[in-house]
Amino acid sequence: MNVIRIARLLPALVLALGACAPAGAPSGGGSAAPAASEIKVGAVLPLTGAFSASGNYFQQAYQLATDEVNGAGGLDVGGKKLQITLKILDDGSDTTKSRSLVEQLATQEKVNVLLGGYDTTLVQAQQGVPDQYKIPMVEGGGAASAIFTRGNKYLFGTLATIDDLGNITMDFLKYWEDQGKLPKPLKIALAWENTDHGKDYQAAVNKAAKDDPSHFTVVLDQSFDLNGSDFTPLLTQVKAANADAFLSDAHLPDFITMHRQYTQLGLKHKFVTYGARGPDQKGREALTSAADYLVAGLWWTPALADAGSKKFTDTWKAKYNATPDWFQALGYDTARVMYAGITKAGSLDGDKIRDALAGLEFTGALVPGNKISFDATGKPKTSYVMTQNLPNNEVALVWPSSVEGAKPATIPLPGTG
Amino acid sequence: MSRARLPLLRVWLPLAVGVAVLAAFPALFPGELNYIGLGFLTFIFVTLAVSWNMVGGYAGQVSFGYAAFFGTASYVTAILWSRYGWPPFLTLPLAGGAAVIVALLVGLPCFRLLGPYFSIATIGVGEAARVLALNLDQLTGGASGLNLPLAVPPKPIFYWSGLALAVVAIAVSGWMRASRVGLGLSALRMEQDAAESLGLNTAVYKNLAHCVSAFLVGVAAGLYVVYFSYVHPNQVFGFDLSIGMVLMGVIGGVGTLWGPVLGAAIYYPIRQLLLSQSSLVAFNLLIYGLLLIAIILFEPGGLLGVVRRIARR
Amino acid sequence: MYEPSALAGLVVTAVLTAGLYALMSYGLALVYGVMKIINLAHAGTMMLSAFVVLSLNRTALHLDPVLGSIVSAALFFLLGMGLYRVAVRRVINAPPIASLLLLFGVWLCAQNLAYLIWGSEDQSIVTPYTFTTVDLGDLKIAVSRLIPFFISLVALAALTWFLRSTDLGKAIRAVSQNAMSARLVGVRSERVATIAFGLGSALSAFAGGLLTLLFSFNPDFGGTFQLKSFAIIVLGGLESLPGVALGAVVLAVVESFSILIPGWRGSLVNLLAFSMLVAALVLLPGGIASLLERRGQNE
Repeated sequence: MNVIRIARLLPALVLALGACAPAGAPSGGGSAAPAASEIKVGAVLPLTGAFSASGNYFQQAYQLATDEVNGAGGLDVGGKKLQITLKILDDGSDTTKSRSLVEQLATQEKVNVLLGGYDTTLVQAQQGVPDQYKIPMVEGGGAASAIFTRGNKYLFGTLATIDDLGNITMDFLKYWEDQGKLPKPLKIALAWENTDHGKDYQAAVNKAAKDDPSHFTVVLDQSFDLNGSDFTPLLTQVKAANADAFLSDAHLPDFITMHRQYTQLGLKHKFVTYGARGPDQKGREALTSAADYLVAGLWWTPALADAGSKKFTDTWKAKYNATPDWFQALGYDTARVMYAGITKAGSLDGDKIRDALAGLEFTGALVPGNKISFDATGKPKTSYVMTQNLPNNEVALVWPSSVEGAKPATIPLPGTG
Repeated sequence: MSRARLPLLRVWLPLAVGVAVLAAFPALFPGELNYIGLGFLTFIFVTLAVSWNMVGGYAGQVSFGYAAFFGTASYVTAILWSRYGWPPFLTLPLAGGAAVIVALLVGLPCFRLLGPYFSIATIGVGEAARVLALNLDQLTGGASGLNLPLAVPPKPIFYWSGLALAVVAIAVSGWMRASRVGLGLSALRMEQDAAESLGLNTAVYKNLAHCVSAFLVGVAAGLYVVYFSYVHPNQVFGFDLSIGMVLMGVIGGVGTLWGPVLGAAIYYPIRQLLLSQSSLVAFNLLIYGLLLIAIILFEPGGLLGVVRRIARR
Repeated sequence: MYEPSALAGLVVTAVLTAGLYALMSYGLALVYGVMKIINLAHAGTMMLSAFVVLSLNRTALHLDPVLGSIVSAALFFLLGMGLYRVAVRRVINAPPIASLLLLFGVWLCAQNLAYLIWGSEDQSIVTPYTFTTVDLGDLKIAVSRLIPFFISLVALAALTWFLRSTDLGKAIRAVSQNAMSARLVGVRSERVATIAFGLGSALSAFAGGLLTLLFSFNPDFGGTFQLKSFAIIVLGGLESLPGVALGAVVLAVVESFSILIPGWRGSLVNLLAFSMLVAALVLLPGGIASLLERRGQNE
């Protein structure tokens, strides 16, 4: 009988497994840790699957930041220069794999610190690990505010949360209403992607409208599916709503498809935004002049005029022959914040690095304001910059007016005055 | 040696030793958290594959919708634990019970369909459940998922619970195969009409197997959710999960007792291995695709079929 | 709140979408009809074809996506026949799970191949007429939606003619109605099935190529469309091409008009296709057409 044969094989199999498990990880066990000769940094990113495009940007950015440190002789840890070994694994955009691969980095590779994954859901799947193993993690890929409500002590974010994207957009609109360039109150048609990202945005817009009814009324509040493909019915609803402003929060493929259909349907609003989408090269190529004058709220843009951002853009172009986007900049900042934290701690001890990060004020950052620090929940105290696409593939910085090189936006959009 | 004593010495004893060795692992190597975690997840996947096989294998009703059970049960555990403060492990029977209710709701209408029609319908059921879960924000947290308490029991507790669950699932599966239910299921797999003309109420058998397997899947889902302390509709209702159960069964050997065990034991750890080898990452789907194609074309008995062939030589 | 022009817009949307939906379901229905298998590689074929069309558009040829789709369809006709000869042929008589999983395996390989060749970025194609519209009073209709719609109608007519009036087409119909008796009357069912699978793949590829006029895509492209196609062919009774067109119209109308339901969430839209899929299987095994026929008989 086959059962018999299998049953006989089983103990042998189990023994073999048991025997090879410890052999597979010879560094395990309780022996005294030798003096560290390198810093092990781990990250799990979606290099394949739904988020792979962005995942690869983060990988390149982590690599660039690491190569720069190693090229300069290593990272200063308590007066000693240590080389950084970066281990990046692919989760295939799958939450279960993401979580268990981060655990693998923590327990088997015994990494000293972790860099975060991309997309909010994957970061949320990973975020149990840092606290469980007391290994600090800095992430620049998860922007939902819910990430920072779970009481993590070892998790720090560099990406300003999406509710703040909604807030800065509403501040911007309020300013232009008060300038008399937009109707007051402004009738808003809101379309949001049914993800954590979109829900944060929706909540912020609705809250602003509720708090300040003299400035805003939301006349349409409609959700759509991620990678929803056909938006014509939704846009027909937008048209029927007779709004002054169209606010949508979408990922790149949906942004391209939705704005194509928007343009084809002949829709026009005095203000149009797709959240963080707008100046993306892919989007501009796919939409050509239809992308002109779109306003976006961004974590970073190559249009930023500060010296650090300019240098980063040039370095990136030289190395990868492509213009960097916010993904690359935030990935680069994320890794550098972590490395600054390690240097500040002067040790590879997880708790010491955590404490160093909690009190860190990183000043060489690329993000608007060039500073990154964290509040008590690990949420970044950073903000957005708003841009407006101009004809001929140009991008203007339009908000906040304090940012270097900012110009007044073209509001209302041309042809809608 | 008499035949009667054979099973004890040649089947049960080696099995007991195997389980004992597996159970001893966390105690012997408490530092190997990675393997303990990997072991836990493998036990969960063994449970899923073995349970799926009761309907997909024994009864030949290939379902692509098991994520509906897994997801519903996940949320039952998550909600009772995070909103009502239940101790997480006490929610498991209810998670299983909820999966049984869903199994009845799906099975009663869909088992009237034969062969591929049943399979297609279950794809629809699974995906419809996912879309619903994504939009029932009040209940499921919608697309935000639910963040659960981060403080969970230590890893070995999960490992042992997972092992116990897998052993129970295998035992139930073995019992089912040998019992009248199993005979009925295989009769209806071979020839539904003939089985019915012999007075077999095939619907009862199918629904019974469906409910038993859904209960086990539900308990596994509850454990899984506690382990991850995070639940999102795209994760627990995902089509990948449904397809994974089918793949484990097929890779291991569909319709057999040990095939799905073998399939799960290989499917999950190997995937993890492929994904942690940077040189193989770019090929991971290709490797799975080719493995699947090769098994379908050359060894419909799955890897267990290969093992048997080798053993026969 | 909805002016007549907005409602007219919804009707137009539904009709145009129906054309698109039908176009991407013909191949699936044809393959099911002849060999009773569900081509799970359909999504992979559409996706690969979209990339082929992209490559033809980006290289020196600058081939328009419509022409590119024709080239791609020809290519996938050959590839489909090859796939049938090498693999699908062996599982035709096995339990349905075998063909489902075999073709699922092909889909996985196709995705991985696309990653390796084209990378994982979102791609899109711009044509000179991407933003061109035909204006009917207040109503604007995009040329890039009209093209797939008319092609879909032409394809339906051509396929119907082919199946009714050519020897090969008649042989395909004979096999799809009863493979055994077709063989008895001398139809070389192997050859017919090979060509039918090639034709089905070509139709999937053709549809995939034309989808690039409207959508951006990456190696994961096609999954949702494939599930919608399932719903459509089930609504259409699984085998008949006019049934597919009918199923496509029903799904498109329901989807487009669902936004008029008060309190409806746009993100629920795919629920419609999935629940119609299940409901049609359980309640209407012969598709919507059978409902109409039954009505006709009763009267």
